[in-house]
Amino acid sequence: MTRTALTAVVLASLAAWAGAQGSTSAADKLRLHRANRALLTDLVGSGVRLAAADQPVTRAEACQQTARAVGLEVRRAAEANDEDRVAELGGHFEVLVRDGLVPALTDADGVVPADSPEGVRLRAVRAGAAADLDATAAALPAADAALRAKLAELRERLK
Amino acid sequence: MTCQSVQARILALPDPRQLPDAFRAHVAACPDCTAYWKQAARLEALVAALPVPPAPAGKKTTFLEDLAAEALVFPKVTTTPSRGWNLPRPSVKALAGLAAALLVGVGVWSATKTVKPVAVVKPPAPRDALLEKVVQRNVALAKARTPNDRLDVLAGLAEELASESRGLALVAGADDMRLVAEWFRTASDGVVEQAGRVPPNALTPDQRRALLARLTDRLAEAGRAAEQAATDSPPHAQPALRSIADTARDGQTKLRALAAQQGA
Amino acid sequence: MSLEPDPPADAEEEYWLRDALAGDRTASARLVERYWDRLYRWLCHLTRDRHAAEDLTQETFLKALAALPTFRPGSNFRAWLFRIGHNNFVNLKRATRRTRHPLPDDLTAAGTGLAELAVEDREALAVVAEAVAELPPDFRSALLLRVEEGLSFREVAKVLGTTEETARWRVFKARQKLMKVLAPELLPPGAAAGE
Repeated sequence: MTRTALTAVVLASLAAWAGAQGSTSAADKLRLHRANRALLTDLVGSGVRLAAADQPVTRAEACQQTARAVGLEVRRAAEANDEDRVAELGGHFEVLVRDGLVPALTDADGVVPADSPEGVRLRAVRAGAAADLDATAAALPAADAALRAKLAELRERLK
Repeated sequence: MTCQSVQARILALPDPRQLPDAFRAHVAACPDCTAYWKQAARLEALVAALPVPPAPAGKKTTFLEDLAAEALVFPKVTTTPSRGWNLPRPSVKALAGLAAALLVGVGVWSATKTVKPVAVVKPPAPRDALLEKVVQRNVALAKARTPNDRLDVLAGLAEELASESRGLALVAGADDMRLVAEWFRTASDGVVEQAGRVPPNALTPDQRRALLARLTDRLAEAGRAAEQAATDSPPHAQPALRSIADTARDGQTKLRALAAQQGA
Repeated sequence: MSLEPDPPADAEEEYWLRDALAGDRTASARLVERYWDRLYRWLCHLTRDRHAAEDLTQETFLKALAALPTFRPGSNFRAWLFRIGHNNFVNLKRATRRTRHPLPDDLTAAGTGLAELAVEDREALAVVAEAVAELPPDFRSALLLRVEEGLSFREVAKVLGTTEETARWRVFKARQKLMKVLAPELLPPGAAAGE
């Protein structure tokens, strides 16, 4: 191993430890708050909509809108070549789809007749969610293979 | 356990015919779930017994005869490692060689006199803790099945936003603080509105009373903390913190009125 | 993290594998005898074509025996074999335009003759068979591996080249779809609808 590579290994280990120990600086806190202003406004609103959604299809629709908002931000971050932001928001997008949207669709599938008006709405939700997943996965940088693979698996669950 | 969740979990079992103890009590007491379980069990049995047409050409017999006579023609096999299988295990010799190489490498490194530029490794990027919490609240709201649960989660969202306002007060500008106050109002108004829309038969009077009392207390606490923070914060942050305190007080008033109206 | 442990290795099968690797054709024949019919049955459900299923079964065993030196002793042979079968099925799907064939009249029930079953059971089986055939292939393959072959979700995942969570989800979705479509058919024989 070269001296450079070994030094890099040592520095990386120290950095990881330091990151785990310390909290966000005030400047970073403010920067992140400003960067996420619009997204947080959307998510607070979607939280209230979700709280009001007591029917399966309405809940699925609200989940899809929430995930869509985050997916859009992921794509914007990818266009801006902001890898850190893509990684952070991509993780949130995955969680919202995996733990919120997919279970909501599954629940709705179990109770909504396919040929009813609600069934039509549900199919639209599913199609919209699939389009969002495809667009978000396509926007990810090549290095983000792990997240792309997770989104592909989630995409399959929407079929 | 709701019927919907029990029925979904029955379908997710390795074998729906074998009901775990955790479900038995509910299924035994619920005619709908009993019927559902019986149907799921019957489906499982029927799938296990699906008919299959006989193989048309007797290739198995031919295959075995050819195998015995060494007459099979095998395809070329290109070995590609698949996940979890057939990965080559390093031999002890290889591991020893690797260890020796590392030791040599360290020795060479320490003996090196040339100073080369050090590769700067980026530390992990800071993440927005509030964003993470708000995402988790959205997931929890998506999963919540009862008005009780939804309201508790929404009230928690309001509390987190109020807490964020106190954390930002020392570093953020007036506009930033104003926005957080608006978020708190959205969440708090959402709590009050949803509390008023809980169906009459969803909760017993005691449950309704407890829910409204709990929500009132939570808003009260958020308002108190905001009021206190306002007295300790820079002038530009005070209007937003007082706005949060006013919103919380307003919410409490409406919830108390709701409680009185519903006899809770 | 797997929620189900791997099943204990079959000692007899391990001897057959070891001997087959050493060139013992009798041991290879035993492996073929053990798994041919089961593999054929599963591939028949996937392809809905008994000719294609038989061809795929033969192709799978040819590839498996040729690739036996790459099989890691102690790991799950059945899952490995079915994985090869699944890959062959996927390749076939890609290469050809599949024509759906209706199930032929000369059905034989797995393990028993249809004639021995009560009329209601025969009718229910026919309806279920048709509904299973309508499932998306991914759901169908996972469901049958779990229910007909008795593979754990972990083993199903290995065969299909996916995660245990996805395998479990596919089986769940398959059952959910079938329950929705077949509910009236699934009442026990003799029970009237609505009781």
